[in-house]
Amino acid sequence: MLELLLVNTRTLLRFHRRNRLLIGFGLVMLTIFGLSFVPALLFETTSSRFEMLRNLASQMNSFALVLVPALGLLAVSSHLGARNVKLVVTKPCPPEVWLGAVFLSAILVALAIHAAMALFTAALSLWWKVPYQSGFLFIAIEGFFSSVVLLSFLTALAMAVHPVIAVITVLFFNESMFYELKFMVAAAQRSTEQKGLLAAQVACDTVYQLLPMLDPLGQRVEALRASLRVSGHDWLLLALAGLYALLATAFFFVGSSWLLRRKSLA
Amino acid sequence: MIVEVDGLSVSFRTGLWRRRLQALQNVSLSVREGDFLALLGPNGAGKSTLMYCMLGLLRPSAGSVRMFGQAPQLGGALYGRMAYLPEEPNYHDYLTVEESVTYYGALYGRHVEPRTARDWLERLGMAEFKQLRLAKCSKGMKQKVGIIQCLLNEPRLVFLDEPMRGLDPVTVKQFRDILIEMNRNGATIVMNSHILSEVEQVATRVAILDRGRLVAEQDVKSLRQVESDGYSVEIEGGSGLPDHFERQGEAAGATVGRVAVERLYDFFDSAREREVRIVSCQRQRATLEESFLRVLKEGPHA
Repeated sequence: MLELLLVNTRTLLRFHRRNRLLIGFGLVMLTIFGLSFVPALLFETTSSRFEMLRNLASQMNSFALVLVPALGLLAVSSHLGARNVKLVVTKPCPPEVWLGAVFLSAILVALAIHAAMALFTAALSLWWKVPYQSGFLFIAIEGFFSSVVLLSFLTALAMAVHPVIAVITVLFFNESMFYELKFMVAAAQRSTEQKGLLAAQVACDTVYQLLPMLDPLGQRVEALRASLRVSGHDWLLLALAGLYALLATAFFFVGSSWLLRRKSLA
Repeated sequence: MIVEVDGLSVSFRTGLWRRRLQALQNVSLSVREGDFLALLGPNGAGKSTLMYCMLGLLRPSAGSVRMFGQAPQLGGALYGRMAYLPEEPNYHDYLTVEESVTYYGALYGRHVEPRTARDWLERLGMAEFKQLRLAKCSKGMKQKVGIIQCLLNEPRLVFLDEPMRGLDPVTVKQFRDILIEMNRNGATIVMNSHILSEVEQVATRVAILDRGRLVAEQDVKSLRQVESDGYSVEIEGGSGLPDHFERQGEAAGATVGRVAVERLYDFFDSAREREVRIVSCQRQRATLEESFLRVLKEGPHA
């Protein structure tokens, strides 16, 4: 089984490497990122460069959070659309192994992207002679965990609905939207005391609880993000965020497998 | 039995009003070990649907399928003994010809030696294209890759969905010979094809489907004897045509015609009298195409 997983993962890594849509998307993001990087070259002082470095790290994370989740989505929608999964599952290779390879290959590419970004930040701090803060590494790892959660969620959605609908769902029905919505509904319910609003409040709260958290640490590491200084407790929090990402990925993998088994692959 | 299909029914919901479309209706069929079974029928008869059900790619609404005595579970161990060639060239287009052959081989749980892959690529004239991505290959070239992935694992049961589509005549002949050889060596083959002249040359049994129902399941020989009620005769020279000879035309200087079975000896006597030379005389057999069309028109007992 492990051999089959590796065979499929290798093939899917080739898919990511040769996917023109992904390459094009990555190049566009890199261009935007590069243009915003130019002003930094004009700064002279160490403090302004440190500030710039922090902004760059944050920008790169945002860039990865857009690119990485597309990996799983594209792999699933492209293979299901091309109807070539039937060639895999009509051999002694269970659909779950193929799906596992989809998740694994996307996570590996995500890891490579986040590692490259962390290395870039470290190299830049050396070049600019800005003291490297462990907070940069912390943010890179935290960003990787967030990307993986979103990647898994989007991959599972792509298994159930059309990829465009999956993207729209993630854009409009995300954790932060329901977080704000549940407070708005609660405030409206308090002022009007309507029973219908109470039901809406419960519904918003339930959906909010069910949706995956992209920023599980949230305000707990707000200070760290500003100072980039990491304490022992922060690393423990990061480990918990990693555990959450692992559990969320496992949950979405099981859900996707269930959906794949019920899909007509003919 | 290698494949047993029992009371299989498949229906789909289509359109805005989710109208029910019956693709297969109570189809029961058995494939014996060593059979070369051809699934025939007009477009929309349910041939591909039946094959998908046999492969486990489609869940039937009712009935059951057993392969090697087990219900097919996608990706299960029993798929190690079989191979499938899809109708449409649905391959991994981002891989090169060589990479795809190696990948499909590796899915059988064993590493395909580069030499094995190379040998098959050479045999089917694909060696010079091994570095070409499948996305850039023609339909026929992709079909050849499909054929290779079918043959890599020396399967005991092969499902072929329109295998000759898009192939050049040389490859058709080559593939036909490979299939006949595989069948002789004990492989069971289930083929779905519209090219009846090809089916006639390779298949031993046929199952004819029409509008989702199985209308006939017979040996090719017995199906073709349906119309064997006459002799095809070629004659030359003589004074006039012999009695009981139904002239049909001319071919290479000879007169071609038909003689009814019960009038054969009367025809010979008349030919001797008129000094007509008989070039050839052979029992007329209906082609598979004629038998197929007749079964579709008049039913299985026509």
